[in-house]
Amino acid sequence: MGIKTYTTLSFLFATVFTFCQGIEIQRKYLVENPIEFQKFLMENAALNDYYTYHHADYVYYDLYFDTPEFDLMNNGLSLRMRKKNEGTPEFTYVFQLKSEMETAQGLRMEVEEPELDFYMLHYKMSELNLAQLLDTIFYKFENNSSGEFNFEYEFTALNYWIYYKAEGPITPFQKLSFLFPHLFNAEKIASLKPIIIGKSKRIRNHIYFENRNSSTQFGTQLTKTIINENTPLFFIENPETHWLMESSLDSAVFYPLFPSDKSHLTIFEFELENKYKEDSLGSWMMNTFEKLLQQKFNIVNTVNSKYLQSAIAFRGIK
Amino acid sequence: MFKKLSTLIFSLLIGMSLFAQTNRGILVQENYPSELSQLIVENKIDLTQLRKITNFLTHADITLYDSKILPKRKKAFIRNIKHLSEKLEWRIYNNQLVLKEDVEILYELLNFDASFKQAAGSNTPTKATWQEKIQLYKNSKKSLQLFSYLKNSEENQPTDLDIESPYWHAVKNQEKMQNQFDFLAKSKKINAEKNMVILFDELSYVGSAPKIKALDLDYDNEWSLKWGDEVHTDVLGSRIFAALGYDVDHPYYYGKDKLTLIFDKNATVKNAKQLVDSVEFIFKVDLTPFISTFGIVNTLMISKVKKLGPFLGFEYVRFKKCAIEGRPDRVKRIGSIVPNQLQNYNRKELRAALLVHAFIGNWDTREENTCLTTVHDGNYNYRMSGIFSDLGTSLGVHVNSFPADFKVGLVNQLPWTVFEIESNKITLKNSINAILKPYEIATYSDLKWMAKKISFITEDIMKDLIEEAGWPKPIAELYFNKMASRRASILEAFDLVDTNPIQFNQKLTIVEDGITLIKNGKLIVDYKREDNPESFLSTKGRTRNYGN
Repeated sequence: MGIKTYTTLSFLFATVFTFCQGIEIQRKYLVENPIEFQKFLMENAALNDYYTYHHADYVYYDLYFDTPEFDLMNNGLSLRMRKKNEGTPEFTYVFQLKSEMETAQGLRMEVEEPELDFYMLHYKMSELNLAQLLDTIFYKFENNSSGEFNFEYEFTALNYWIYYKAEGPITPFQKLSFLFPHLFNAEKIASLKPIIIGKSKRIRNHIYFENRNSSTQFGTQLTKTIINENTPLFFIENPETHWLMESSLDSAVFYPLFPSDKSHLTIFEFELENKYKEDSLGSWMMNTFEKLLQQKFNIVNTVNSKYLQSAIAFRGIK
Repeated sequence: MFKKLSTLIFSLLIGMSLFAQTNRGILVQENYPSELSQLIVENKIDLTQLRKITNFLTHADITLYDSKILPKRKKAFIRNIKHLSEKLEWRIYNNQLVLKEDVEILYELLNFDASFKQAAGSNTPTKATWQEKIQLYKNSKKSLQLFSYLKNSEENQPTDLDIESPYWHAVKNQEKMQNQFDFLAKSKKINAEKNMVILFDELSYVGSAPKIKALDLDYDNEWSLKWGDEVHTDVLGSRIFAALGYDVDHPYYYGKDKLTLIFDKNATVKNAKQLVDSVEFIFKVDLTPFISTFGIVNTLMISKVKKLGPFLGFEYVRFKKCAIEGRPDRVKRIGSIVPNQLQNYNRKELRAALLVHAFIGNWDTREENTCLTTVHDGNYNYRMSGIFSDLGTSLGVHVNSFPADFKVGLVNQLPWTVFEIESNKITLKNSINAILKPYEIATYSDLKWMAKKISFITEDIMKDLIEEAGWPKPIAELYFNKMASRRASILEAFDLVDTNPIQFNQKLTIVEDGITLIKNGKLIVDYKREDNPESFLSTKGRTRNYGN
């Protein structure tokens, strides 16, 4: 079963549900003038009646995997171990398998192994957990000024862990063998190796509307969604606002872990996620805001993930 | 050889449990189930066999078992399985021999595996077939003769040894007995307040008693809101099971206007009328007589119940009587406790539960009314716990063969005694609709062990538990006398000295406002029918699915 078929089946319910409600989940853009755009977001600026509120800065360290034949990339998938700090004092670690977006307004399959700190492995005659090994890898990465990385011991430990767990209850591996039972057999999964490493900084903003402006824009007041456990503090403290979208501006740098003509790739990527869950108004507001951003900051729709962009660049694919 | 090893491990585990901090209890018994033996080869865990189980339990894309739809795996359950699995995988990774704690984990995983498979198809509403209904009826008749025992037939067996397991925990003293239900609720972060406000979540399509799903105002915890003849019985039944050491569901009774159900504007059911129509459609029960008030939340209501504050202008409904049962976020339900598998039927605590069912006069003892759960005790510590649920088909049950219906909470239908005693022979006189293997093979000494626990129930405990059930006073008084009498009959059956005798009167008569309500131990007036729409006398029951 191809990824297209799977994605279609897997999200049939979600898609029917969301289309019935006119909800689009996510859109992605490349940013040509990041400095000006970053300033706009950091200063809580507004476009027409669309207000932005900068509420968090995240940091991500990513280690991407693929087979020597780039089977994941060829099948529209990406697999990464991520160390992340999302505005809390602690770092967390995840192992994620994602599909590429099919269209600019599309959905992405995403599964993850959310805790890596109870997976133990052997490293240099000692025992440590997977999160600790990732810490070691990303520490070496961050403190390397030469651009030439030596992760021999770390990757040996990591590769052995993948080899041992290829048929184990590890969510991304389970999903791979489910999606492509013939291609991603235990041997193929065991051959997955780290191929790209990188770091991203993310600026997070709420995009919102003031209640007083909604009747002039829409001829009617927007419906207030009931507050629940997912409602950000900003909207609880400011009840006269409506949460429309959530935005992320990523500044990322990636490095190849295989021979490449390109030493690194810098990516500026902007993402919008619909949060207004009522009829087609959410889509309409995304369209309007998107047009305003395109006019002012020249952002361009994209579908390729950061992994795909990097892998294409490092492999010299035209 | 293997039996010797298992006996040794069993002895070590009993010793370990005396000092261990964990309150999960031990699973391993003297005899290993064959499924457990197959996971261990030459004193090492078989990785391939282990992964068959752990992958099945954690792989979200495995959605069918035996052509039936599996329930959605909860994140916390998957996490728990992965934690357990990793401990074993690390042992294998390091080529180490199996340890006693590994055997416990393997046994736990086997129980989860069997329980999850048992749950396949459980979320699909199905009608009981005629064959199933006939079997329930046959069991109901057969069970009245089946459970006969010769007194002191196993005198030499150690009846007093308490071994804590995920299915039973010792309740050390009478004070704890009284508070055990609340203690369990607290450990699961269940918080039922005096004036309760809950949000309509979705309709329920399973079971025979009318119910809906509701959300707590913390949005983390869920409640099942029920009406009808079980709103008192389930509350008492669950508290008695808890007091005797079993884990249970947590039902709470709410009297007139003590609970407010709010309808979110985006919910599928938006007001009281739609609720009545939906419940009528699904359960064939008219909810109208149970409704006290309904309308729009106003400032006067908010001034009396502060928690209503955020819902000014929302539709609401209040009831004359209802019950809510906790579905806490900390507890993930898997399937049944698989009493007929994995040697679970050899557990004394499960066999002895037969006597507790008889004590409360519970009829619906089907496997589906047990539940294996994982309880999150905080800091990612998970504990396996088997619970007895849906204990409301008790305390006076009338089962009709044609039309096939039943009614519970009929105080006159609850006998004054539990056993029929004929010189050296005792016979349980409680009808049950499912004869699970542990009950079938329960022995005199198993029941005697539980009878001793029952003897610790004092007058205060009994009164307190009955008060929680919220019956009107005369009905509660009659129940108190009947339960005290039933307790005494159990102690008599096992020749136990009653160190906490409770006085009771089988000829109880209660007169209220010049009207004789109870005469010679029998309710003769359909007490305040307007306030008690389910009726304490009428045997007209619910037909939907006949308990399924």
